[in-house]
Order: sequence, then C-alpha cells, then structure tokens
Amino acid sequence: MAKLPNNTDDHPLTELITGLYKARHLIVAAYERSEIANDDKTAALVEPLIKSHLVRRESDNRVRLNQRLQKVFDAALRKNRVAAINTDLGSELTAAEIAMQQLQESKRTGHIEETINAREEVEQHLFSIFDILDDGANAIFQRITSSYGLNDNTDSRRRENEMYNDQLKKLVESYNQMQVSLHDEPFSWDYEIQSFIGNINVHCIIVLDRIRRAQKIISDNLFRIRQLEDRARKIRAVGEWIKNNPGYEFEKSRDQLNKHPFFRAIAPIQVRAVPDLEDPEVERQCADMVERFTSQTPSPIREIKRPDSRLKGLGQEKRTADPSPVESAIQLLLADCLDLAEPISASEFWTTRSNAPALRDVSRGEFLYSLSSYMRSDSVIQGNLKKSDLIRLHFQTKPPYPKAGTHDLVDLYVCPATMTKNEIKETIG
Amino acid sequence: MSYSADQDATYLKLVTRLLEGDVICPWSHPALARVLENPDAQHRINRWVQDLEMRLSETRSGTGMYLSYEGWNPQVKSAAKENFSKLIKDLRFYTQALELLMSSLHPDVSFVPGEEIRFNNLLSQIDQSATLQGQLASLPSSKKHEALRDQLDSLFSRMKKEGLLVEANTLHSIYQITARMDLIQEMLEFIAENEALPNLEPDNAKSQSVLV
Repeated sequence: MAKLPNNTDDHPLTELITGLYKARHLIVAAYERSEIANDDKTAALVEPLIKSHLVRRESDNRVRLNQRLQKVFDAALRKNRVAAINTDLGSELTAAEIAMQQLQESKRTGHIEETINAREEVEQHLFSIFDILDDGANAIFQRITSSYGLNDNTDSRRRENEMYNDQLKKLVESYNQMQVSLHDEPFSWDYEIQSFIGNINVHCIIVLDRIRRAQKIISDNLFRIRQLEDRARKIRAVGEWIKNNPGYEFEKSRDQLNKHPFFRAIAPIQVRAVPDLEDPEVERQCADMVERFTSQTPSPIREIKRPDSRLKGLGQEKRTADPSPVESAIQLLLADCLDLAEPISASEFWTTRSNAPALRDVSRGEFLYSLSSYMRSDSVIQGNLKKSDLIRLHFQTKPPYPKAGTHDLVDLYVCPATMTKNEIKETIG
Repeated sequence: MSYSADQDATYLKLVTRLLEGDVICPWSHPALARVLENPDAQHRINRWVQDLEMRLSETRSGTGMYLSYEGWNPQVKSAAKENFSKLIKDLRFYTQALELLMSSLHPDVSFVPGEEIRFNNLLSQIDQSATLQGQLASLPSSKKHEALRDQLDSLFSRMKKEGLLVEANTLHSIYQITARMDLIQEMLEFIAENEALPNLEPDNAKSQSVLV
C-alpha cells in the first residue's frame, strides 16, 4: 500500500475540504435547493465557500452549488437523471496551448521550477480533455444501459435518445479536431508532452469504443421506437378499414398465409399419457386396478346401445325463435334471388325497401354487413341444403383512384349458386 | 445429456404446453420460458417434434415461442386457413381493444411484450374521456355491462382468457402484455401490409424527427 503524505495540513485544499465539511448541512440544503437558516453562524460558514466559487448565493436564505460541483454529486447520487454532457474540448485545448507556450518560454529562459510547473499545467489540461471525454461517454452509456426500457413515455425517451446521439456526435467531432491539433505545434515542440499525449490516446481509444457502443444502442432504441410507431399506425389502419368495409374478405392476405409462421401454428393437441404395457411393473399395476374396480362393481357392466328417444311430452311447450326484422328482409332477398334465378343487388333491394318497417332504422352499410354475416354462417336453410348450396355472394368493388392497390366496397350481389363468376359478371355488367 | 427428475418434469410440462398451442413467454410461463431460453432445450424439442413435422417458431421480437407445422402441404394449408379465419372472426375485437388501450396509454406506439398495464390507471384515463368511454362501450365484451369498471373488467377477463394479458400483481391489479398479444399485433401488421392499407396517424402523433 502506498504511504500517504503526512504534511498536507497546511495545503489550501485541506482548508477548503475542512470548510466544506463544516458546512456540510448547508451544502446538502444547497444541493436539494431548500431554505437555510439565516444567522451569523451560517453566514460565516457560507462566505468562504462563496469566495472559492463552490457555492453561489441565490437570495438571503438560499444558496446553490456551483453547477460543476452539482454535476459531480449528481453523477454519484442521481444516475437516472437526464445526462447533459460537456461536448466542447476546444476550451481545454486552447488552455493547454497557452500553457504549452509558457512551458516553451520557461525552457528557453532556463527556469527549471517554472518549467516543471508549466509542464504540470499542460498535463492537467490534457487530463481534463480525457476526463470530459470519459465522463460524457460514461454518463450517457450508464443512462442508456441501466434500467432502460420502452415501457413508459416513449416520446420523451425518444427525444432523450436523440439528444444523446447529438451530444456524442459533437463530442467525437470535437475529439477528432483536437487530435489534429495535439500532433501539431506547439505540442510537437516537446518530446515528453508528445509521449504523454500518446499515453492518453491509448485510454481515449477505449472511451471512443464505448461511445461507438452507446451510439449503436441509441440507434437500435430509436429504430425500435420507430417500428412500434409504425405498427401502431398499421393497427389503426386495419381497425379503420374494417369499420368502413364490413364483410371485406382480405383476399390478398389469405393468398400470403405461407409467408408467416403464425398461420402454421399447430391446432391444440390434448396430450394424454398412454401406459406402456410392455413394462411388467405397469402391467401388474393395471391388472391390480382392474381387479380393484371389478371387486367394487356389484355386477358385470354390459353396454346397452339405445337409440335416442324421439318422444315428446304432450304438455311440452314448443319454442321457436322468430327471425329478426333484418334477417326476415335478408331471407326475402334470398327468396327473390332463387325465384328470379339471377343476381340481385343488395343495395337496390335496400333502397326499394328502406321505408319498410324492417329496414326503416337500418342503414345501407349495416344491411350489407348483416347480409355478409348471415351468409358467413353457412347453416342449413332448406332440407339438407346449406346456404352456400343455393346462394353465393358477389362483392362488387372498385379502387378509390387508379392504381390505388386497394378497393372500396360498392355493392353486394346475391346470386344463385349455379351461376359461375363469369356469368355473374356478364349479368351485372 | 442427462436431466434431473425436476428438469424432466418441467420439460414435460413445457412440451405439453407447446402441444396445446400455447405461446411460451417470460410473462405467461416464467419457469417454462427460462427452460426454453436454453438452446439445448430448443434443440431437444425441435428434434422431438420434427417427426410430427413441427418445429419451434419465434415471435418477431424474439420473446415468445410456439410450435408450428413445417412445410406447406395440404394439411398445413388447411390449418393455416382455419387460423386465418379465426383471426378474421376476432379482428374487430382485437383492433378495437388495441386502439382503446393505445389511445388511453400511449397513442403513437404499439405495445411491447412485458409492458405493464395498471387497471386503475387505465380506468381513470377512460373515466376522463367520453371518446374512450364510447370505444370501451362498443366492444363486444362490454355488451352485458353498464358500469365502466365492469366493462373494463370484462375486457380484461377476455384478454386474460385468450392469453393476451397476464395478471402480474393481483393486489394492485397490474397486468402484463404477453408474447401472444405481440403476435396478434404482428398479424395486424401483416394484414395492413398485404392489403396495402393506408397508414393512420393518431390525433396527437408527433413524428420522429431524426432516425439514426
């Protein structure tokens, strides 16, 4: 373990830290932006901190921390805060250049102590550049990888991601510009500084790799949000479409069923165990079970097959459900079609009978939808004949505009099942 | 590879669930999903079901797995048509329910598996909007109920029954979206793409300004 220096009591930093410790309650109050008691004792504690620019006065009974100090505490305590990073390496670079010129000047005049101080200053500025880069990359990487999800408020998450991406871009640009300057004058004047820059660069490469990974995560997150937005629009589109086009058959999707594994999903299989009778132990258990059941049963069970009773009690009430008015109208339409043996337009039928009590409160769209639903349940309507054996529906559609790729429903035609598609099209015209 | 008795019991349960047509995901079947995460277990199941001309399929997000038929023979075609007909039959319910939930919680994005829905938060959102109340009342599950809470309860019951939601916390009525719901959303996307339906923006949608 390295030995700690023991003569630091007179160092001004020790005095500053002691001052901070004495005023710790005030600093917490300043960090949390709450009021402080305004008396002589607190004033005496705050004044040295204000003079050293660690704390700033907001009003008589309120102080705030210097924002840089606030960020140091935030980085340790509030990791989930939105990260705003310093993307400007230029200021530190300018400061390093000035210090470099001072170093050159002191070397020329031969002042060794000044030379050592100037070199330390240059190195400190170079360390600052690395710290800005590393802190920024760390803050953003932490933010996007820890407890990160798309579960709440996607819009703010997206804006946050976009902001991080911009900041990282600026940071990398600034780093690239700085790299050019670091290999140029005045830094190229000093061999030791050049090797120091070389060492720092090795660490910077690790940081840059982290930045690249952060950018990739951000890019994935934004892409994911984009996909979710796109999906939401498509769900709404389907909802709107079936609202406006009742009975629409989705033929194009039906033709593409082999394109998605969902449609190949297996039909549920009820799994039951079958005893393995080859196993002597299982066979013995089965025999025991049969013996047990036999002993519990008073007489041998004989299976008696009886036909279902067709008798009906004399007092039994006969219940029949009357078809709804719309259903009656649909049945009338089907009967007309069978009588005439030609296609009948459901819209025309509705128009001619819209004043009839059965259809008075039914809109054209509702009537078409009811007809489509009625035909979809392919029940028996006459003898052993199903609806589809007698009648078929023809959907008349047209595109909303040329080459639209979609079709609007115009009308439904009720046609005899014996007519082919071509015959129907010729008849309708 | 040898398996312990416990592992075998879980494996048997997993295979049974898969054969019963369940979509296995970390929210609907946490223990089984953990087993299925292991590539060895996936390989073992695939090897076993390949004689039945089946294989494991994954939802697009990769969070759910289910069994599907291999190949495209007449039997599979017939099963596919049946699955499609079932979907079309319930299409109105799915779109209405999803639109209601999205409009109440986040109008511009669809749901992700594992997302939490708090019943009481949703109820208070719907309570504050006449439009949302209208949407909820128009759902087939709301027909027998008049009170808002009963209508929403009935909707959640149906979604739970269909495996679209699971109750994550009974005490606080917190539900989670399952991979089956993700699959239904995928299907709606599939229909919209194939039918080339025009996309619709929600009323308060804000478009993403930058895509990296």
